Amino acid sequence: MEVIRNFHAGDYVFIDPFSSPASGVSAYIACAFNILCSYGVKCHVIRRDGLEDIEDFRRRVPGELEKYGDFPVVEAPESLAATKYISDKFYLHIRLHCSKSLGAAIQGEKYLESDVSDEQKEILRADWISAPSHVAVAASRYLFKLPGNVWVYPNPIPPMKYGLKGDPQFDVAFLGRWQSLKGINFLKKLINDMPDVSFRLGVDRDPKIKNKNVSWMLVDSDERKSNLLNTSRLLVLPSLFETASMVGLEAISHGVQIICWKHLGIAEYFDSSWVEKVDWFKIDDFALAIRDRLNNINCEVPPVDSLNNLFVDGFFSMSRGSGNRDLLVNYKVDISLLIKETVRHSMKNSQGKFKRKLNKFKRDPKGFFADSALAKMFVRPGAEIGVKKSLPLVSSVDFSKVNDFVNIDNDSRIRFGDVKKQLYGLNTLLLMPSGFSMAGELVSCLWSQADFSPFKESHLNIGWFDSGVEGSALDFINRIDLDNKKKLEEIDFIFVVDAPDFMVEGLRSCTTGVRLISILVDCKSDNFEVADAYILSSVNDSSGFSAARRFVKIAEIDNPMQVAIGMRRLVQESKPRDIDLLLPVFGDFDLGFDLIDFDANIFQGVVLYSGDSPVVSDPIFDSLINEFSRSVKGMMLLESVYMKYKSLCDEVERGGSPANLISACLKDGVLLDVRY
Amino acid sequence: MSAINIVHVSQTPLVGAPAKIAKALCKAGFNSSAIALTDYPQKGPLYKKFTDDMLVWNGASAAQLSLIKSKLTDADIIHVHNDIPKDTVKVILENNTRAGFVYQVHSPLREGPLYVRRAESIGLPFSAHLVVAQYQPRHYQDYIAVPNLVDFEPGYTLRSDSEKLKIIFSPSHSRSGRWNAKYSEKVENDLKALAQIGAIELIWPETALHPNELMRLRQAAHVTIDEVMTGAFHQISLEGLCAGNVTINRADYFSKAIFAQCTPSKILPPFVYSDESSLSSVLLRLAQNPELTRQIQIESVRYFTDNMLSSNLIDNFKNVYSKIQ
Repeated sequence: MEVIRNFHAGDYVFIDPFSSPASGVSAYIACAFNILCSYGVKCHVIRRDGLEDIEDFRRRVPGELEKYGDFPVVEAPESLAATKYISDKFYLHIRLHCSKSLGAAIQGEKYLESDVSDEQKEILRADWISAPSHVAVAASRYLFKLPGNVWVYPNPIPPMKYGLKGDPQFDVAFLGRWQSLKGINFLKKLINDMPDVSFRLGVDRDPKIKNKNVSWMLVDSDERKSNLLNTSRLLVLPSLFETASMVGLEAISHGVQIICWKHLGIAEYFDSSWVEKVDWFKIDDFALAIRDRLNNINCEVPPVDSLNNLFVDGFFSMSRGSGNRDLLVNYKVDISLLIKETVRHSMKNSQGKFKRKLNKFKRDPKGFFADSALAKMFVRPGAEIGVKKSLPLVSSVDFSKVNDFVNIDNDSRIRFGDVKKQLYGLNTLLLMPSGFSMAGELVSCLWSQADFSPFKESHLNIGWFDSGVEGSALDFINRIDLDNKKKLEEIDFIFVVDAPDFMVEGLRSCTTGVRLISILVDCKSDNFEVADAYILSSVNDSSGFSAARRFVKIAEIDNPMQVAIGMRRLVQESKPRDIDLLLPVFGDFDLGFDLIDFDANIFQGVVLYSGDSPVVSDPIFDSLINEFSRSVKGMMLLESVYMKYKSLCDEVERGGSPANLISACLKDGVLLDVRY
Repeated sequence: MSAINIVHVSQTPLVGAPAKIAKALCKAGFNSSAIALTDYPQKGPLYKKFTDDMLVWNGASAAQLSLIKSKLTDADIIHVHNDIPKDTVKVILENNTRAGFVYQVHSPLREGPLYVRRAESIGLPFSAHLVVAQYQPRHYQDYIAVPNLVDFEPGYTLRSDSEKLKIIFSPSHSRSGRWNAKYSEKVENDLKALAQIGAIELIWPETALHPNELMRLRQAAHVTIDEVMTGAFHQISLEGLCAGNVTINRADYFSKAIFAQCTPSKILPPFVYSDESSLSSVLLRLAQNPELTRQIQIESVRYFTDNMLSSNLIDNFKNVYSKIQ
């Protein structure tokens, strides 16, 4: 939608929904405001108040806009859809800074679909879309539909703070929020690997780093920021993702060079004399670059004016609707190539797997980020980047030295022992068929996870069953007397390998609190409704699978480490938690209105129903739920419950009917608050 | 061919549930009876309370035994409740080769998630599987839901403006499990406290009155409290409606919805919702408002009369039987 509009004529209003000294958007607005004012544009800012609720802010914006003349132009970031309630009569400029949703997606965290759709709406109705880098555009396309004509021009740089400084105290500075998105895990590795280099961290909280080459300070004002930058030789920017980086620009305005990954937005602004660009996530190259630069500090005057000219050119071209749409041609980066390289870099194994990953990425980029090796690299602090504790794999486990928790054969009563060591909510039993070929390796992999107590040698309970055991679930239950059932109640997680369906059902039905997970290595199942969760091979194509509440698919089911990791994942997602949030499964929820009076002590989820009372011809529960589900408009579940039924929730999120999910929840005694 | 002889068989009287079905079937023109293999333990509170309309096998006289056997032999349909031992199955199969078999589950074997299906292990060829239409259908989602019957005529006492709110409440025992944990110390304390300050009049019957006596008490009360802990409702709620009581429980939507499917109007029963923490405020609100109490009382008994007379609900069973043979 091209509209020729002269920005000089009316007022120009920035909307700041973050309004925080730590926010890049707020910093950008401050900068842009000053520069545009100097070009005669009448600028204003509408800021969100400190603790103001975002919805309250959204509703306040239209009223505030009335103050600014007849046809102000409104600029806002796409994040938080701050312009949701302003009428179409306003000219709207949306700048793609980096949606919170996008940030969450990149970190493999959950994001609210409704937030994304609100932001999408604003993007679609905007008169102009701009972005501070090509990377911002490419990344935004994964979540949003963008119009063809996005204007790319850089964020402006704050006025030069460059001045002659004495010998800087610190080698390397880091500035920003102490969170994984800012790449702190890479930073930790660099700190560890370079004990002779001094690091100064300017952050928002105590990073709790004990290394001797590190010191930190709380940065909550421009003075402190300047102080840090004036006393450091270099700035590192190891963020997972940045659309530009106001921190980087501030550093440059102080004459401090930066080292960052080549896919960060700021890499598109300058050449290597100011921004040393390292290949994506090659941490050793990053370290080399630091050493290189420390020997080779750039003493030139920072190119503040030239960058700001690009900003001004871009801005006014956009306002006229003509001229160069892309002002960052020089250092453009091919994002898709970068992603391919990263995927290859993280897939060290076979070609087949790489192809499969790439296909998944092409098919479902959102899903890929949320669930890929890439996300795993981002999400587990320390896990992939070398700070994990692990014990060496025991070469062979001597089971004769291990106390069995239980031995199940065909005839006699089943007797359970006592749990090894009490772990609240995490006592785990691994039950294997005698003669299980992978037993030693699997247990070895579990024991080697020194940072995960339930699997440690001192805690993990091990039991066996005779693989020829036969019977019915009822027979099985009847072989366990009341005392032994009580002993089994001490266990929180039972992993049973290659057990016949009746045994899985029997075990599951013996106790109320246990979470029973069936691992299928050499065995198939006909009934996926009995266990709470399944670990199985990705090529398992048994029918009836769609009824499984939760499953984890493993590429190589005969790889004991992969099985161990799958087991750990299931324990971690189900362990007792302090805070149990409501997660949306699908549908639009007016969080204020629809969830009034929701009592998480009573209910584990909410169902929004609209329509007439369901009526079925035969009073069969299945039919009732199917009929009911047709008019279900939305559903949310407590996180602990969501994780139990994750696979069914995924199905609903993909557009399936919620009937299976609702049935599974109700069957297990979950109470849902039906609102209609 | 219409089934005429219907025999209900259960291990214990099951608080009279099979007997009520048999009675209602008789009123509808069938020839039906209910056989319990044993009564409740002799020393216990339920002994002889539910056997008025049943034949009890264990300890039966020779004449009664002969009656029992002939009923089983002549049955066109044998309706098994919950579970019966292999010996009984053997007797049935030896004496009756043409009956159709119906299975009905009332309560699970043990506390959940032990909803292991027992129908398959009984050893009879069931043509239909039924489940009581309260919370249980969610554990047997493919079974046909059938209502429990109330064998009383509706009768009620409307609260007058000067009367205190009369609440009838039968305490339960502390048990564990998702669906069995009905007991709440808080509820008992709250009720006693409300009675003590004179806000309500509490009728707290001694254990195990005869059902008829209990119903008379209930018909003189204004409010019936079922349990407010599990999300299910029980027979006592159905009787509360019959007695024109404001019937309080914590039944969730799906318990009510599946029950509604068994009624002629398919409308949800007018239970008043409360949980453990809101009970005292719900009761206070009722206590302070006799008009509101009356309204709900009338709504309750009207719902019962329109939907829950045995003569109406028995259709659920007739439908099942008509599809057999």
